[in-house]
Amino acid sequence: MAIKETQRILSATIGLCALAAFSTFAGELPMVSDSWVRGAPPNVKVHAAYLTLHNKAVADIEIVGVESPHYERAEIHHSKVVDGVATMTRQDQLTLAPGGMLQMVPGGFHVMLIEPKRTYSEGDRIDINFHFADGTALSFDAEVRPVSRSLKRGHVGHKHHKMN
Amino acid sequence: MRITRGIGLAAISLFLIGGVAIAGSFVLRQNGTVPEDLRGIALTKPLPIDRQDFFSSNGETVFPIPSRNKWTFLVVGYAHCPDVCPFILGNLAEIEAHMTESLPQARLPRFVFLSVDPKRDTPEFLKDYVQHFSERLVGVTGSTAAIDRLTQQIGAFYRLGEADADGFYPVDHSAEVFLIDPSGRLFGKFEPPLDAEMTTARFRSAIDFYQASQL
Repeated sequence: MAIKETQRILSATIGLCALAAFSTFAGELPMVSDSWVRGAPPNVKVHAAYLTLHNKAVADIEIVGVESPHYERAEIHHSKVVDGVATMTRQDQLTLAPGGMLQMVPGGFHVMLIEPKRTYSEGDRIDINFHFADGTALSFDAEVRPVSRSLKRGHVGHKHHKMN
Repeated sequence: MRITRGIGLAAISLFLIGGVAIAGSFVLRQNGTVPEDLRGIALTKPLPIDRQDFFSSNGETVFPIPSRNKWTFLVVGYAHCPDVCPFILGNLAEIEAHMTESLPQARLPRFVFLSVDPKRDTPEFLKDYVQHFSERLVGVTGSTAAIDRLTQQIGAFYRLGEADADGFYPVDHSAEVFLIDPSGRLFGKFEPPLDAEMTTARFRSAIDFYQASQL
């Protein structure tokens, strides 16, 4: 596939370790796990990425931006179902407390990926970058999964929670 | 927003809303007549729905589709919905797969996705979209008037959001699965996520209950 081979090989973890070597911060850097993108029919131009973001540092982390080289635009959105009605709101900023964990799962927070630069299919890896208020960034990738497999991964109205 | 504060509120509101929605909008049919597993799902009295013209993936159609014995599982949404709709449609596909395995052909219901966003979701677009989830899923859309009337009659809600600088607009919409009986009436509704086995069992009860009430 066309997405850079080097980026496929570099897992998010290895990237983070390299980044950590240059970091002057006390405490650990934020980390992403369980990242995936829900596969969509080729004509659908809006996709969703899900992940768990861990803040292992001693201070808040504030996400102020998100982008992907594989899409024209990306935004963080929050879906919720209230009184049986689903609504979706853009989040311009998200703060995660020290020791906190943000689970982005179907029916809750997600990274909305808009206008794919080409068609992606199952197994492709999508690079995503979070930008934080302190000027740092976090790069990770997310595997495209078929809808059937996506299903096991969450449910509407899923409650994200903080880990202490 | 701060994540930690939102969580407690979300959890509490989901709990309250679930309780109120079930207690408020659905009343039990007469005691002893409603199978236990349809409580909170079946309406006190099925609601008639006007037949109107829509466009389906296969051309023009009327909806509810006239039929002697077909039930319909209906979901309301829009194809440019990245999160909730694919989840519910994936869930519906699971139900469909389970029913195909466990119910006789003649009892299999229809699975319909009603797009409330006809401007973006043309019938061709919808066809490609729904087939991604299941070959048996039918996409339907129509005029704003037809959509408004149908959603009103089944108690579904939708509202087109404001477009951003790039023209993208979200749509608020009911995230429920509506069950329409063979007489074209709203029989009840389910709150996703639906467990395939339990939903199939409930659907069997609905069929038996409906047939008994037709006698």
